Amino acid sequence: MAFEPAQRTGRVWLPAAGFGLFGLLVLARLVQLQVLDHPEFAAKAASEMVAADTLYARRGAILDRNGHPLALTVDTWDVYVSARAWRNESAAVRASEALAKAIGGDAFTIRQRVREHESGDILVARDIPFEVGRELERQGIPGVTLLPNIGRAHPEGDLGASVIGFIGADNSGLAGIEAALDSLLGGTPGRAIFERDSAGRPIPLGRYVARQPVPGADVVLTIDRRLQELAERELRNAIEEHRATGGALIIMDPNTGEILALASEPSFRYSTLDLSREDQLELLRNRAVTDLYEPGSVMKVITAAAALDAGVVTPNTSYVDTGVAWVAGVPIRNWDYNVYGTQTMTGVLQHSINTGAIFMAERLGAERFHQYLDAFGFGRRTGVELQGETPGIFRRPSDPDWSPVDLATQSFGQAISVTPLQMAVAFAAAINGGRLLEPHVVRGYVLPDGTWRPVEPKVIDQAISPQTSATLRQMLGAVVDPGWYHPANPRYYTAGGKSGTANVPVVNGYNDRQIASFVGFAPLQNPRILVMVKLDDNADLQTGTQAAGPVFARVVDEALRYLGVPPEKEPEGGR
Amino acid sequence: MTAIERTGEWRPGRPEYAIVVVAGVLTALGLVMVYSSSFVIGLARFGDGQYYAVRQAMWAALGLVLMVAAMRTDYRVYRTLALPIMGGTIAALLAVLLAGQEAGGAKRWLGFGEFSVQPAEFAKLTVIIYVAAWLAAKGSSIRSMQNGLLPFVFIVGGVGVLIMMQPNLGTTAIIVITTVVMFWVAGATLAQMATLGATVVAALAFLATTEGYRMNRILAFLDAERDPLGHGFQTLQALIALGNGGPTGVGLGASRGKFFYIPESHTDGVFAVLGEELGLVGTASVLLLLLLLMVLGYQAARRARDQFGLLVATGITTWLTAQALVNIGGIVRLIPLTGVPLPFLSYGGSALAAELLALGVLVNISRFGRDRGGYLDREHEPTSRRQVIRRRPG
Repeated sequence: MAFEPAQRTGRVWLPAAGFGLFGLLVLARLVQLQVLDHPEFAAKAASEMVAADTLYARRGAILDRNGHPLALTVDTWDVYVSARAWRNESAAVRASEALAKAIGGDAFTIRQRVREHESGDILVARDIPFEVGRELERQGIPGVTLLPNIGRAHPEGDLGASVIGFIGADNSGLAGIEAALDSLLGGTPGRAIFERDSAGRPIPLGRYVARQPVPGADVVLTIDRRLQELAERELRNAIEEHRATGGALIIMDPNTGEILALASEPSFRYSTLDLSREDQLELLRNRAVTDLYEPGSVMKVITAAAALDAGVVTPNTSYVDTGVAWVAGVPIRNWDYNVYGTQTMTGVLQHSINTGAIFMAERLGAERFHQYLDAFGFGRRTGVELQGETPGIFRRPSDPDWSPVDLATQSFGQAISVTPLQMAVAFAAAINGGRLLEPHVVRGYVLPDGTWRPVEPKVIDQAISPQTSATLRQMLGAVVDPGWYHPANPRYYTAGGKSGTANVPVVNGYNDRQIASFVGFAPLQNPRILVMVKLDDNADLQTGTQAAGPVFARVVDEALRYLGVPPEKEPEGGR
Repeated sequence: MTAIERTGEWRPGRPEYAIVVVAGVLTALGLVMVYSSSFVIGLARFGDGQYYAVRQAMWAALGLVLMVAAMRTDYRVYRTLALPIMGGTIAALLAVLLAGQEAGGAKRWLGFGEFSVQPAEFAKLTVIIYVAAWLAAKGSSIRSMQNGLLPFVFIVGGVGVLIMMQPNLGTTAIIVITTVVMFWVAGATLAQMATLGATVVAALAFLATTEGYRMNRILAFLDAERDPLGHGFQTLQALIALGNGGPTGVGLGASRGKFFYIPESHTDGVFAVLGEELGLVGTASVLLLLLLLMVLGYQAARRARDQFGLLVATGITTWLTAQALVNIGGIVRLIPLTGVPLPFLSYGGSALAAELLALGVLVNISRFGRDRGGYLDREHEPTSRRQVIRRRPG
């Protein structure tokens, strides 16, 4: 082996000195970065790497008056697919087929949706059931991630949907009680501060909760699920039978204002709800509180109540019907063009004589008649918990275009627009001793800590005296049970009520479409329920008594039996 | 490899154990930092936070075996084998170009199933050996242009082109710096050095302007703030991580920068993660350890008994030091980022194994150093054997 002795060179120290100098420079730079500029960089790192996240509060349940759940919060999953992970076609095919098998749907469609994106996590399914998600997680399909979400379950199916409403993708209420009481049900979201990576994903362990979410309260409705089921069924059948376009059926407690059932058609169904369809948006409002109609002859009850209370008539006051009343030179006729001759006020209600209503209203005078309309809550929102309530509209004596004809037509329910609920509440005041009540669909709240907060009944006004109210009950009992057959007369219970058949107002008059309704109560002496039945535009053109009356009778029989009220009558044969 | 035995002709002395200790400390710290900085990436890419740490530990174990073996192997063996070693290196580099595995747009790996190697990492050592053997054989004739500079440029340039074709500018740059320093230590004239310097600058300018991403890196170095989310991202995030660490760091394992803010946080960017987690205490310690290793290396070189040992020791020391400073300098933004790993600390099995092997060779050279009591032949035997024995009783 050749051996050349090393040159005794000091040349190695030149690179050493160069590197050493550079090393010192690096050291100085490190001191600058890590000591002098440290606060600035620390702030920068903190601002860049910290983000806040909302912790959704658990949404409260919606229960019927007896505690049966109507809408519940359930844990669900949202399914995301990483576009990057599915870039490989064969891997994407395998993964999408496994995914489609688990969550349903078409593998190709899922792939298409993911392929539209270059990168990121693509939402492919929302609110899949908890167990399905757990199974997916167990399978560990490449690229698939699950994020927890909450969904709404409706144990009673579509029952009460128009009252309950629904929540949207962001878990806030969009219709019904879900929307009206959204903040109460939704609780207060919490806030989590997390440190995140450069893609915004939370860093494990780098998370702390700044504010715990407060869960929402449970809402106990005044709705009774059995009565609601009854109301929805009867309304559906009646609409079908009389070929109506829609309608409302309200069952309420006339003594407290609690609404026991509220059916409204047309309405959405959870099972077919599709917000992407324009025509479905029409179904979201609860027509019993949002839509106006002219009540027709049902209004005669209010007119009579006012006239009796003011003392201008008694039930036995008589007048002569000539079939026509001339008001300011305008002839106003009875609905059936009949001439009834000498009639009492009770007879006016029994036969629904327009000229009789005009007789009472004219005795009262426009000013007093309208004071009573105010006392019965017309022209004002009732204050029910549902959204989109309209106050109603009608001409007043102080209006410049007021004419005596308005007083005459308003006395039998034309030229005055009300909501079905408004009419029901006013009617309840007329027969419950005169108290105008604030209607409720909410009975109370169960706060997150378990406290029960009841909604107290609220008397808005004393519309008429209790004596007048008792008198009126007798008169309305005579309408339903005139001594001969009446379609609205229940088989097992005494009742009182009044029908209405109103034309639908259009510009410059009325067309041949009509709204048939019946509002009544039972039992007669000690009313437990008030029932309002309204059918829109029934194509068979039957009157309120013919079309809505039998529905009233059936609902009274079934509802009172369910409520445990002992039958008062032996059923008459042959009906 | 032949184990060193005492013969009448030559005898190894005491190894420079300080080198072993420094290397051990850096490697151990490297394993910790690789674990810490790769946990997130490992989890994201392989669903296993320990993916990189386990592989790095296996390579470290292999590297330690290689290092101990090299410490016990007479370094002059490499001189006799220099030509076949160089041939093998070129063959491996060609194989990479023809049949290598690609990652991130570069072909750098030779795969054997699960196991893959970066030949370029080992090429750094083999080129040093070959160039040292060549320079030692040339003796003082390297001072001529024809016999010295031209063949030198040809050899280094050839290897450089092979590695640049992967492409791998960082490794090429380290090889060029290392061999130029070796050329200098071997006795090059100032004129030769000036010519070399001009050539290197011209080559760098050419390479930087022909590849878009290199120009972007240089622009990012000059004005990272202009494009903080694009080309300046890597530069700025490394600075933020370092600055966030402060004097004492945010704590081991607590770096935020490694969550994809610092690209390649477990390889080229590990120094930034270390700086964030251990602060100035950590970065200064690592820097000083690396400079200490440099001093020990050059000392061993200067005390080497033969020209080959001097040049190999110089080469190894220059390689490791230059690579460390190029990496760190890029992270602290004193020079542009070049994408070379930090020796001993960055993730990269081939690199770690090659580095530990090289240190083994360096330690072996130190055993024959003038202060170590070893000798290469009778001529250099210490005048008094007793002196030696007194120094090392027993």
